[in-house]
Amino acid sequence: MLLLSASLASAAEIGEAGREFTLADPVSGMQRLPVSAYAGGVYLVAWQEGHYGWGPPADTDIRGVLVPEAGRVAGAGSFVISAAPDFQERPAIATDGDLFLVVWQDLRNGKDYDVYAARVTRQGKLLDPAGIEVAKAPNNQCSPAVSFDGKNFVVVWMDDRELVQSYQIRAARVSVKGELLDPAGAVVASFDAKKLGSLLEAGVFTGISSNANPRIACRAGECLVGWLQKTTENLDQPRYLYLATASGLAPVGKIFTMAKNPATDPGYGDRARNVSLSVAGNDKGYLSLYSGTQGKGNKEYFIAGTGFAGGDKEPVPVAVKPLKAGYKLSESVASWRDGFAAVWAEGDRQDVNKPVRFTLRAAALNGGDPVKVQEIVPWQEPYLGAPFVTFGAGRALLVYEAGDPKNGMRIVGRELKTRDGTP
Amino acid sequence: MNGSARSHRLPGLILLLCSLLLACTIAVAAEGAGRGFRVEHAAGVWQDGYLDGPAQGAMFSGNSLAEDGAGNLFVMDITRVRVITRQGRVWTVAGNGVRGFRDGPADEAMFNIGGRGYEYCNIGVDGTGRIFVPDGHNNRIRMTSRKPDGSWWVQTLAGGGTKRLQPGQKGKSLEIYLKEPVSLAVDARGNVWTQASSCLYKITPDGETFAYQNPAGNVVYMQADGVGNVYLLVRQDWASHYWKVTPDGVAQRMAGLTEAEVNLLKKAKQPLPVDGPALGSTFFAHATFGVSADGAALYGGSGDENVPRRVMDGSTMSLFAEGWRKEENNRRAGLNIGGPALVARDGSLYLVSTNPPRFLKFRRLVPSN
Repeated sequence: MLLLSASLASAAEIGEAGREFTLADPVSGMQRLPVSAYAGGVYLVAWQEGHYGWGPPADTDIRGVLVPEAGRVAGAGSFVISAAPDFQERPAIATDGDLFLVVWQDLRNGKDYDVYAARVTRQGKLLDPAGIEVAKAPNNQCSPAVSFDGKNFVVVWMDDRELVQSYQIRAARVSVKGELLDPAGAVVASFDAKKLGSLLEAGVFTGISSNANPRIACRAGECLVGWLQKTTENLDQPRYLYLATASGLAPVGKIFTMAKNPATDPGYGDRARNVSLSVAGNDKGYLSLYSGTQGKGNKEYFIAGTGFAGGDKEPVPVAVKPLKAGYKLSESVASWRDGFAAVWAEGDRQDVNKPVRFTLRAAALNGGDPVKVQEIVPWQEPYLGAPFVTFGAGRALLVYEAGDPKNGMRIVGRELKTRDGTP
Repeated sequence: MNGSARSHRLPGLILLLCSLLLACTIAVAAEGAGRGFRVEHAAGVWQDGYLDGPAQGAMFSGNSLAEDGAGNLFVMDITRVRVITRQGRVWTVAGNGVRGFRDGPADEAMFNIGGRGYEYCNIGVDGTGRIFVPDGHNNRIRMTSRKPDGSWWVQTLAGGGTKRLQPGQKGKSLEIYLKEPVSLAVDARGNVWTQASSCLYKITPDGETFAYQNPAGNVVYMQADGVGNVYLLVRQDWASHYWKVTPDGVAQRMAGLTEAEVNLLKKAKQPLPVDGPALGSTFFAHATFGVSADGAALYGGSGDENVPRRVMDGSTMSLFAEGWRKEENNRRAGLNIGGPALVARDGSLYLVSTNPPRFLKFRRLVPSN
């Protein structure tokens, strides 16, 4: 475990979860994809809410709610962060410790996705009601993520403004005053345009890659960007790049893949399908989790981890208990001052002929092995998914999607206690 | 179809073998290389995933196709029904992205497609724009339709019950048991056809289901033309063949080799022809499947040979003279065509380049089927 494991050798554990509580009654439809951040005694939780469909009344908005402490919602209840026309989806949040920046993908022009952002104060005041245009180029700019580098917010997203059916990863900084500092967006990852052109001209459709699901975690003047590089051979592999952000956005070193240990690392073989990825950072380094399927028929599910010490240091593997029997999962990783915690959703069977029960599990990842995995929400029907955990002062807030008889899906929360090593 | 050779009257148990192998030799050269099509990209990118919005940048994971007659294409995308509109935007019509079962408002609905070892299906759309999905793991046929207020609604059309129909029997559609349907077709009268267990089922618009003896075997895709015929793609191991069921219930194999015929050719060390007489002569591997509205042309092939082909007047012909299979650094290349195909009302052929799903339109350049 090298440098990272040594530096993360505290003995934190995830404790028991508190009682489930409702964050906000749905206003306009299903609630999906919750995210949260913590600043100065309050969590901001944001999600997408609304209806899909072909034509009216299809419309989704970004809504949020302040949670002063887990289990209690601020009196004002939920509020609109963006209710522009058409779809606002897939929010992400970061904080500078004083205010929050929420980013999302936005179809308000009715034609293609752009990336918008808005600042929200710790009192729940929306500072940019029309939204900040972070990326508004031809074609799609979508699936954003955001972090704070000590001076500015850094946003990453998928972008297909330049290539034929292939997405780039781009990044831009947004100041705490809401100014867009990199209007063109710096290219983080891209397939070679010249090579793509020659392959298409020759009618050869192998070896083409595209980039998806960017995530970012920043420390002072430095960020780690992670994403999934997808190829036409179905080789979906995590990729990582350090960015220096003190003055502009500059790549540092080369693009890394996940820690290379094919004998023991799940997700490394050429049959693996890595379907999601998350990153988090703290004073000691970065941790990325990725999950997917592998093996015969791609039916063996796993979660794996890769650690980074920062600077331009090579990745190192981090032990995460592989999941071999579950039916479905989605994961996220969060950090506190000197530790990390992973949460994920898990189904109890792959036999989809019968109802699937779901649970949420968690593990504190401090570089130790074996990793202690804990069940934090009992097995239940209906659906549980998209868990997202954020550490506050001595406690953590877990938010997730839960099946709802009336609205299909709603966002709920639980307090998550920690033992030892608490922030 | 002049190439019909083996027939079966439905309902009934007797397979009528006619063996009318006609030596139809359509002049392949008449259409030349390119065969009168121009290939256009309709939707999808070089990666799988889920993203609506402009079709050119949308992401898909599933590959089934159906058309509503107004130029809108529907895709069953694993857990969601999605549409590629004629204007080039992709929307999610139904499904919340989670496997399961739930009827009701479309965006809250849950599907669980697949069965019999397959994790995909082919879907159908009727003349009024209702979308039908064989929901295999839920043992049902599901219907997605638009309400007067513009919202979409998912309901069970058939299955979910316990009554097991035998060939020749009928029952209330919501009372019958359908075991893992993965294919369906909507005929010109609005009947939904599907296959499960050893039966073909006709589900009528007034809520009744009729069971017929399945003459063909393992039906993996079904299609219908606009004049009342239903077509079956039957897979035996790695040999595929096509059947046609006429409105009066006559089933006839019309193209492809059975597994037994393939084995005979291989034993005799004969090649497996790609083009030529359609029935009992040309070979289809893991085939795709589309039928023209007038029933005159069937599009199949691709799969291992990776060449879309047309069956018409008893003969099979590649749409591209050299195929689209190419090699780079000893790796398999080409379009990797697979899954259901679609012949749109305007005569355009849609095929899916799989892994990742990209939808390709073969626009007709000259009057042709």
